[in-house]
Amino acid sequence: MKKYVVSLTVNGEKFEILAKSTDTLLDLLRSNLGLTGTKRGCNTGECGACTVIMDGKAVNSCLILALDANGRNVQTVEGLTKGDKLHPLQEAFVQYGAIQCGYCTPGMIMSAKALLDEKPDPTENEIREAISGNLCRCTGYQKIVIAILHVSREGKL
Amino acid sequence: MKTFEFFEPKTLTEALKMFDRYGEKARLLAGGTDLVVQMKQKSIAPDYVVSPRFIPDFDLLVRDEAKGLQIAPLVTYASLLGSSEIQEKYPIIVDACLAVGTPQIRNRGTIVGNICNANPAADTIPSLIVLNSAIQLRSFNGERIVPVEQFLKAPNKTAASSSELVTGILIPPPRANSGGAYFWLPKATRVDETLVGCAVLITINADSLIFEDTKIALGAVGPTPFRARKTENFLLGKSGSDEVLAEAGEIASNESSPIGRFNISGAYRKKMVKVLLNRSIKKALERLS
Repeated sequence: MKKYVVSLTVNGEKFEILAKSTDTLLDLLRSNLGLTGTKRGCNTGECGACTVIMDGKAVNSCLILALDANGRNVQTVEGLTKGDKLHPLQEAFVQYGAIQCGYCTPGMIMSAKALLDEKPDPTENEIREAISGNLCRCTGYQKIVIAILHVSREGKL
Repeated sequence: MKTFEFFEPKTLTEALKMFDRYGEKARLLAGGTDLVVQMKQKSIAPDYVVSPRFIPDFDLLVRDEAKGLQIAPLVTYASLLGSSEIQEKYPIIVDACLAVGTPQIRNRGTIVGNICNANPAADTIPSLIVLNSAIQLRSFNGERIVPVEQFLKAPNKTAASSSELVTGILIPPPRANSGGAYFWLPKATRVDETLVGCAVLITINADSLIFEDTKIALGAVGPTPFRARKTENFLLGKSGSDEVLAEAGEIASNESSPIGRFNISGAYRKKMVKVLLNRSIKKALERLS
C-alpha cells in the first residue's frame, strides 16, 4: 500500500510521518505519535471527542485526512500541560467537577481553548455555542460551562 | 475506507485535467466534512481524491457593489460567518451557515461542498435559491453557469458532470426594500439534522408596503429544495397580515411532500412548514432595508 510523507507541527514540535492515504489526523495523533489524549468517539464528526486545534481553529480530527494535515500546525490537549503544570482550563475542569468519565474532556477543553484564544471574555451563551459540537453524556454540561466561565473571568466569578 | 491516490494540483488547469481523465473515479476534497464521512461509511469510494488546497484564489470571498458576491470553493462557513459584509448585507446567509453542523464542522466545511453534496435537507441551498444564486462550473473543455435551482436534480445529484468542478457561487447584490431570513427545524438539538428548512426573500413596495416580490424556498420537504411558487404568487400584492400569513402557510404546506424520517412523520413536518414560513416572513420583514 502506498505511503505518503506527512510533515506537520504538533504542540510546537515538527514531525515527519509515513501515512496511508486512508489515515486521518486522529490516527496520526493517536497511533503514530502516541498522543492518546484526543479521543475517537463517533468517528464521523458529530460528537467532538476528537477535537484538536489546527491552524488556530477547533476541528474534528477524525474528518481530516492525514494527507490533508500536511504542513499544518496542530495543538492537542497534551500541548496544554507545561511539565507538571496544568493549563488553567485543565485546572478549572478538575476543580469545578467538570469531569466525570473524562472521555469528552480533551475535546471540550480544546473547543474552550479555541474560543478563549479568539474571545478571552465570552458570554455564557458564547461558551455554550463554542462547545455545542462536543457531546457529554455524564455532566449535563453545567459544570463544564462554569469551569470555562471561571477561566475566562480569571477567578473573578 | 477504500485506499485511494491523493493529488494536490497547483493550478486549476491541472485539477481539471485530472477530472477530465478520471471522471467518476475522482472526488474533490474541500472541507471533507461530507466526503470523509461518506468514504468511511463506504457510500462513496473514489480511486482518486483531489485536494485544491494549493490552487490560487480557491478560498476567495469577493464582494463587489455592482456584481454582488463571488464565493470560491474553499470558503468555509466560518469565514462567511466572520465576514462583517455578509452579516450586514446578506443576513440570510448567516442564518443558513449557522444551521450547518457544529463549530468544528463550520471551521472546515464549505458552502460549495454543501451544494455539491446536494442533500435534500442541505441548509444553505434554500437561501441560495431565494437569493437567485448561480453556480459556476468549469471543465477542461469549457465553462458554464447554471442557476442554483436548476443545479439540483435529485437527492445527492447535481447537474455537474463527472468532469466538471464547481468553481464559484455567484450571488447578485441585495435589492432595495428587501429582507430575507432562513428558519429551520432540527431533529432535537440545534446541531441535529434539519427536518424543515424555509428561506424567504421579500421585496416590498416602499410606499404601499405590500409584497412586490417574494421568493420562498423549502428544504428537506421534497426530493430537492424547491421554490414554493404557489405560495409566492399568493403573497404578491398582499400585506403581511396574520390572516395572509396563515393562508400562505397552508399553501406552502400543501406544496411540500416530506417523507417520514428519523421516526418523525411527514405529516408533522408538513405542519411545521406553516410555522417556519410564518416566522421567516416576519423576520424578513424586520430586516427590510
